[in-house]
Amino acid sequence: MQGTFGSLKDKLKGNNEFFFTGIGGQGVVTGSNLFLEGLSDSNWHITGVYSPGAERRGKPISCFVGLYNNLKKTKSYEMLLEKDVLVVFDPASVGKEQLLNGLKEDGIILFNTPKRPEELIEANGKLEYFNVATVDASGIFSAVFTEAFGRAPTFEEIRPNVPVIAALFNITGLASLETFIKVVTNKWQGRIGDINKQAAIAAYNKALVRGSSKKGMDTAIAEMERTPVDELNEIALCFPTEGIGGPTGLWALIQPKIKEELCNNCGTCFIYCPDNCIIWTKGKEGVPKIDLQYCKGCGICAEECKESAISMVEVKR
Amino acid sequence: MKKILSGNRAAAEAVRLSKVEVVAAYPITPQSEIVETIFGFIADGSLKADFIRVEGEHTALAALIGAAMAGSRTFTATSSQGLLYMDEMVHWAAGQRVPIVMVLVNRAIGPPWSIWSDHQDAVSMALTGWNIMFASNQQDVLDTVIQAYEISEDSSIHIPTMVCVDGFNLSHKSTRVEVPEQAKVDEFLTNRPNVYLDVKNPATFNSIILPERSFMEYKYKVREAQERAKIKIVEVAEKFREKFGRYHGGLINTYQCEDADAVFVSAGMLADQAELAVDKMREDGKNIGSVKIRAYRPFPTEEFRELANSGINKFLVFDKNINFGMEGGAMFTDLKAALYNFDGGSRPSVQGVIAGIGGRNVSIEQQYTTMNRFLEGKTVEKWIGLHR
Amino acid sequence: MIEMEKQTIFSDNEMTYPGLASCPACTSALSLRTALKALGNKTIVIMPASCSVPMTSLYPKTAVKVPMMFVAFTATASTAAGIAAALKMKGDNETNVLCWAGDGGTFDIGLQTLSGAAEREDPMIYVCYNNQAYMNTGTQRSGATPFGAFTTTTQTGKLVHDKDMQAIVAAHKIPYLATGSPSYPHDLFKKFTKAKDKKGFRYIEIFAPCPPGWGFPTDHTIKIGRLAVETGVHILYEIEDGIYKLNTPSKKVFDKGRKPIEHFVKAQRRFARMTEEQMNEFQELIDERWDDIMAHVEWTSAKNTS
Repeated sequence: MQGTFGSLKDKLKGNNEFFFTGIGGQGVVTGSNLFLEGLSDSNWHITGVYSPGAERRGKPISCFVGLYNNLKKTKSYEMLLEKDVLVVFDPASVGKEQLLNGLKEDGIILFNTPKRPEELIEANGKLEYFNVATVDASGIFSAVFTEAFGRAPTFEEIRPNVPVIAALFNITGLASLETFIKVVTNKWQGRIGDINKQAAIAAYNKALVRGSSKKGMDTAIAEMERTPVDELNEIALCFPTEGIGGPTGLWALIQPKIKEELCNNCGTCFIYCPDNCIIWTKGKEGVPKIDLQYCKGCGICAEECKESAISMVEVKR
Repeated sequence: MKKILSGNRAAAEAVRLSKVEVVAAYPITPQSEIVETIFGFIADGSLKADFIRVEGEHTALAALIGAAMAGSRTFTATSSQGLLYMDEMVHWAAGQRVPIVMVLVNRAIGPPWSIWSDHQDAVSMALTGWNIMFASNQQDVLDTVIQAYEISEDSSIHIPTMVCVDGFNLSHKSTRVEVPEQAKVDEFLTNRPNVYLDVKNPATFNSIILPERSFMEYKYKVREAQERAKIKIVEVAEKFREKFGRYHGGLINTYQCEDADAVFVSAGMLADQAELAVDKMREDGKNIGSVKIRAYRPFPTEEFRELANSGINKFLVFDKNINFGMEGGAMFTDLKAALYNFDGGSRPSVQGVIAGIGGRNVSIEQQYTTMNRFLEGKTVEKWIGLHR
Repeated sequence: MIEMEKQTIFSDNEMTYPGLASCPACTSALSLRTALKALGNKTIVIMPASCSVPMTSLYPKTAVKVPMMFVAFTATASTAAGIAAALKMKGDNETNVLCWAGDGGTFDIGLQTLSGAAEREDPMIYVCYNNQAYMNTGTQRSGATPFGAFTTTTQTGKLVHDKDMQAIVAAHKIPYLATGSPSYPHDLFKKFTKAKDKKGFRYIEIFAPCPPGWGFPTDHTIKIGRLAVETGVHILYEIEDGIYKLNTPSKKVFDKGRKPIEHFVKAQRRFARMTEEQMNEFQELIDERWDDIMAHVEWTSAKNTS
């Protein structure tokens, strides 16, 4: 079902808590502020709280925005644990189990992903308890950027926030495209403003929506992983393991591909990989292999290979 | 063996006997003698330790935290301004669960500038999670510093301890002190610091912990450790009494409280002097006692409730500190808090006075007079000896 | 006797796991990987508040295979001094004590503790990876931010020059000081191997280009580091017991002649608003520093041979 204005409007309640999640650098904070701005002329009592996941680019960031009929609710200290609407900026977190923690049954999820709702539900049956919407915000932004600059954006240059919020306003019926464009052009002028405006227009009614189809969700899903205090060590320590940043390969839009016939096994790519993602042993047979689970697609290996044996290819997911 | 020792030198002897391994300290009046004496022990070989001549107090405690993380027995000493300069690290050491022992030679906090004793520096550390103990005489200093290692290094405790020594009044006053034999101290100290940084068991410490993960729980554990320290402090004092025949109190020490109607409550040298005020009042036929706060943290809540239950209905607290924003000093505030919520029948009357700020003298006469006014129901001067 | 295989940069004794939470193309991550490989598993790492902290560990996981401790911002060298003392008392003279601090934690808030440790000759390898701003908290200026650069607290470009930290540390007359760059990994690896076998306070300052903070595409990271050397913005040299020695990449630059800094500046968005006047001033500063190092190379090597 193609997203049309207000297709999930009746899923909103008297008091709603919107949870925006993504990774540092995607504009989650700015996005949630744009959302607040777009509602400034509405009748809702609104409050936005910024909850930093950690200070780092690439680390989880979440923000929460409350839309209330009841003014008193804006006084709440609580950083919410219960969500009515979940907005996911990071395509890589689509598969994450704990993402759904605290989301109310029959709540709304909007994913930034090129996948369709049906594909996501097929991969994770639990999504059937929720109203699932998808929009390829990163893709839409990239297309607009490429049109404007004549080249594809780099990883850091992609900002899915404006198209995501545009789609969000559309499916919830909370603001018209006109209202949102005013907010966007107020915030950014010049070339950046144009690009964001185009992205908003392009994304506004592009969301694909699939309503919830199941009831009676096992609330055990909503339990967060907590270790009882008596089971903890006296002092907090962390043990060495891979993937402390999660499956960082999901951050990559492009990943390297090595042409075996051109590779001379010099090990240059192996030395230069900041993330230890090139599997190679000096003197052993065979060309280097890329650890696609963790490779972030920075492109250093391709750039530094003296034999031009590495090319960066688009990741298909 | 008896030696003539000041409070400072007694502390240094305790450090030598405890076979401390890493010392890091920065000179500050009135602590400098401790550091110089320890230095002498290292120079003459009677103490095998590494002395880091740090360029500031923050560095001193940071270095000890590092050394303790790697499993060394550590020591530092400081006062007032120096303590506050390392305040960030004071909080850190407790959360880091390292058994550092520090001697805090109490000194007033400026401005105005002062090098003389009051307890503002010590009470400012109440919220850090350290055990804060007060010694009231030179023997107490020596014995309590040794006990501090046995308390802190216990595997169920592992929070740092500071032993307070009144600046000049105690740190620089000498008397005969019994210095225990090395062999007996070796037997008495049964614990070792945990080794956290170990190349055979690599782990990372102090990573960021998200709010919904386990941060609150780790802080809870610090508190629980200090609750266990309450019991441990008493236990170790008893063990010390058994081995060395000397006792300075557990969490508190009492003098003539068995049949007392009213008691002095104080910490440090004032507590020893209070005994003389008690004697004077007893000569007048009054049933007075005195309570020495030996451990200010963890606060001796249960002990005070017991005393209130035993028939003492008047507590007069002498604070050598100011609890800005509250009535009186910090120990007065904390005592009232301890006595508020218990099912002991009617609450006793608690009065508090501020005295001895910036090293101002507190005489036996003043203690005596103040208690008499309290007993007679007259208004008590809130600031003893303030020039009006 | 078993012959221990000599560690090289091609060895497979990786001391970090993949899946760090660093930005793509992070030069701190790359340098740490190189450093730990050279130093081996008998290493204790001390890191102050900086990018490297949340990049390498988030409770309950860490990516580093050796013992590591995060400390308050100023306390890197001081904590390391204590750890070194503990190791000494245990009779352990093998385990490396490695400080891994950013420029904020070295040039600014950590300056005192570094100076104290250097003066006391506390045994440690102190590494400053210099990405020339407080990157972890969103790119605020530090004492290492170069003249004319944009940061969130120098939005019209920095108006004062950066601190010459190398000169400051060199003034402590430490046994070994080196500059390094992940763009020259063999050189960097060699320096860590050398530092490992020396005693006392060793300082290695790594030039660490930062794609999001400086404004250039991630795949240019190594190139930017090379440009820095080719323009003289970063000089690769060592000071061993007072003798200044130029390393091969900078020697080549000396022979060929430096590229004008325009090449370096134009490649990064953080210098986008730099005026021609500022560019000239920056060039002058780089010329000055270059001449200073070259002069030191000349007269200390003359001293050495005389």
